[in-house]
Amino acid sequence: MWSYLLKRVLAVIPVLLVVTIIVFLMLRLTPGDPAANIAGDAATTQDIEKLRIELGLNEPLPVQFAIYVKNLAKGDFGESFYYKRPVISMVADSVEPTLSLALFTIFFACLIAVPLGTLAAFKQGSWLDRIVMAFSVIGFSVPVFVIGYILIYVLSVKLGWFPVQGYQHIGDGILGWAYRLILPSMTLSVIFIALIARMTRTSVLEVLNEDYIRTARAKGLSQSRILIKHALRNAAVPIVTIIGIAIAILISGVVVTESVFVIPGLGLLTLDAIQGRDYPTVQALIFLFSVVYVLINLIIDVIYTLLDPRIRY
Amino acid sequence: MVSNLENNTTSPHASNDSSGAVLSVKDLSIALPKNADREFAVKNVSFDVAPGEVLCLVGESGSGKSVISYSIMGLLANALKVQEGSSIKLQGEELVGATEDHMRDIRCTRIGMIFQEPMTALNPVMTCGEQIDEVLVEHTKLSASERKEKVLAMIEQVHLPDAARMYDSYPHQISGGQRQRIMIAMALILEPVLLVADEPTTALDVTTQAQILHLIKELQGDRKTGVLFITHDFGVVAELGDRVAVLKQGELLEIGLSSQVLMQPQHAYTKMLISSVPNHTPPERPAIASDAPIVLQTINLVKKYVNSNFLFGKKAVIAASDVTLEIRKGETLGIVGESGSGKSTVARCVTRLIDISDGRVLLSGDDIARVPQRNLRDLRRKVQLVFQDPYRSLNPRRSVGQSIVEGPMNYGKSKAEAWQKARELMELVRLDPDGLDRYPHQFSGGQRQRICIARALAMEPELLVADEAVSALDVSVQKQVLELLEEIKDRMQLAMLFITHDLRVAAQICDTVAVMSEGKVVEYASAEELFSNPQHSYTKSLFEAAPGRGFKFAREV
Repeated sequence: MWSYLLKRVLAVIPVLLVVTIIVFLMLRLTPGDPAANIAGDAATTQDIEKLRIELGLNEPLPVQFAIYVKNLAKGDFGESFYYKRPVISMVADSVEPTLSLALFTIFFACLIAVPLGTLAAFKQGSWLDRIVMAFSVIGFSVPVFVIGYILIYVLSVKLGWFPVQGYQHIGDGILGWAYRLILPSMTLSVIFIALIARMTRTSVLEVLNEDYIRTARAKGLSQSRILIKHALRNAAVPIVTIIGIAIAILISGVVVTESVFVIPGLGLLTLDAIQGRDYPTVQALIFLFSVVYVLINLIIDVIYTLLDPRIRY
Repeated sequence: MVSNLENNTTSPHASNDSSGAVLSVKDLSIALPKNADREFAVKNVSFDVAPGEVLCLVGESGSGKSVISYSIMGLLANALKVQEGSSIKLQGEELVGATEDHMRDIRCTRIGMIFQEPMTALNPVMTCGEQIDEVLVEHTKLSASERKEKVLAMIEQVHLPDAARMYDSYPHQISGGQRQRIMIAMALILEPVLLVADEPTTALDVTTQAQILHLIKELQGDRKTGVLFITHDFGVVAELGDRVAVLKQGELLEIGLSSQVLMQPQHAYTKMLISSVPNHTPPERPAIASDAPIVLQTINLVKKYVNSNFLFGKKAVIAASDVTLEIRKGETLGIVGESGSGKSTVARCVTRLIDISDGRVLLSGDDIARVPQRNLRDLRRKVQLVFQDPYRSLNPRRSVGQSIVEGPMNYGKSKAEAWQKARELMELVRLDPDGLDRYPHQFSGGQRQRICIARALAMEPELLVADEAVSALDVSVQKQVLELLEEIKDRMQLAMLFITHDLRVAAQICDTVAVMSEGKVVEYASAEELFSNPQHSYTKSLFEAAPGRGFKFAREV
């Protein structure tokens, strides 16, 4: 197990190296000049050139890359072209909203989707099953921003139940934090409820046909015990996989949701940084996203071994 | 049509008053869904099980024997409905129409049940101990420590070594026989008055089977548990059953004392079934000409599996070692052994489905062990396989004809020629040639196995490898398929490698038999010699474990 973990962690290094190179090149080979952006419309060519030297953009690409990697190895992600602050502190400021939103959403989605999927499987063919299936088709087909604006229109503008936009830091009161997260989480979770409920249903259905479920019934166990202890636990591996994928998709999904609800998280930061061609910030963010993706996968593989004693690495 | 034997030959255990019975089934009828091949899964079946008695329910697949056992447990699929007028009484209490809650209280407390596949009948993600414990959690008010004590005691009663370790083991960590013992512990921990056993030893090796039968007998004898034992194996009936009931297509044909039914069956169907049980004594066989050419020869064949691990280095598992065998034209060589003995490994090696580690494999004198993959085309034609499970070895989306002609056309036969040949082969395996346009699911298991044989023969092989080819079939069908194989082998002068775990089957069809254990051939002799005078202790132990051995079954005259 430990040797497996070590191998997996070491395997991250080449992945990150490739990501670093690609992001670095993509930013510099696509049109747009950060210096010109920062200098503004009234700047002269000299002003821009001065800025370029200041930002280190006048060096040849290999030299720029070497400096970047050298700093990265020291844990230094550089300084934002715009805000003149270390990128890492900007990311730290934005992590809380994004993480709150992502975890809130996935928690909300699992809470609804897993029981719903399990019940749909148990009552296969019933009205409940049909509603769950219909919902999951709708959930897949409607884009996030459409759901977001519909929810804002109905629940905020018309009914006035929730604030239209904005975020409250968890430090400023946990109730206000949760209250403001409800609407964006609902928006984001629709597709994940659809995805997870569907996967849960399929997976539980398959398990319900297994011989050990028959054994459990022959033992005189109650329905709920059979469903939860025997069926769900055995069906868990594919469900956990899909939740892991959901988290990964979620992180990219928050970019849209955060801009709709104006939440100052990583999504908004990424959007601003790309628009402003703020190289260090974009590089740092994508590097971090990659690390998170790899970690999620690793965590899921470890969860497999906890769920199923037959899986050993 | 119930034989009147019932009245004058009650079991020694049965009281004359049927109200003393643990289980009393009367006029049980269970309807099948509308589009099924017959109206009733079970029709007007009546029988009793007395305390301490073992009643065997025997029948071929589709006889309704499992349906009866599920109806007693209240575990029938929703599509199957117990008909009005049916009665299932447990110690006088009517179970037909009982609520699900009430049935749940009865399951495992008063009726225990064990199943065929110990591999799949246990939950793979819970420890064995937890699974037994669950029964106590559900049905008793014992404290955690009392439960643990009781579970450990029960694990010891089913003669499992190291109860504490067993408690914490997951099902995949223990053997098939041990798993079945766990199932039995689970079913009997609350001392139910009735045990329903649905083919509990069918999936086990013969020596393990003997042990499990012994265990069931021991535990039910001590507790005076009534046992309803479902099986298709008359050997098991001879071994275990006080009485036996014979079912055909959902109807009870005959019920009586085991010894009487087995030796003097009354009903024609029972006679046919019992006479189909292959005999342990091989029939007289013509000797293979000593100058017949050798088709297949293995010389010191070795197959090793190497597991390499990051930390622990390489570990080799020897699946077959020093296997030296030969088969002449027109000869059938049987390889007999239990699971894990290496018999299938040898079959896979000689067909080059896997590469051997050492030694030589000669097919008509050519060493095929090291021929590169791309040159194997010719070998593939010369060696053909018939597998165990006819349900899964035919592509369900292709018609039978398409499956048969595919091989020959691949090897250059014209379409018309291949189809003509397919028609001839269908006749050879005694199926209607018009069936070529139909799909596998439209045939029964025995018919499918005939199709598989026809498919193999279409390639005009020199060597036919039959890997447990009759193991999944009912005895009467098994007998027919064995006869067919024998006839085809003689007519086409094939060499046949016959892999089986069933000694009786080997006795019937093999000229020569190799007994394998732990990857080695421990005994290699003509069938006649081997069965009349086994030399190796392992062969002897196999013979002793065979259920119903020494029992004189009725033979058709």
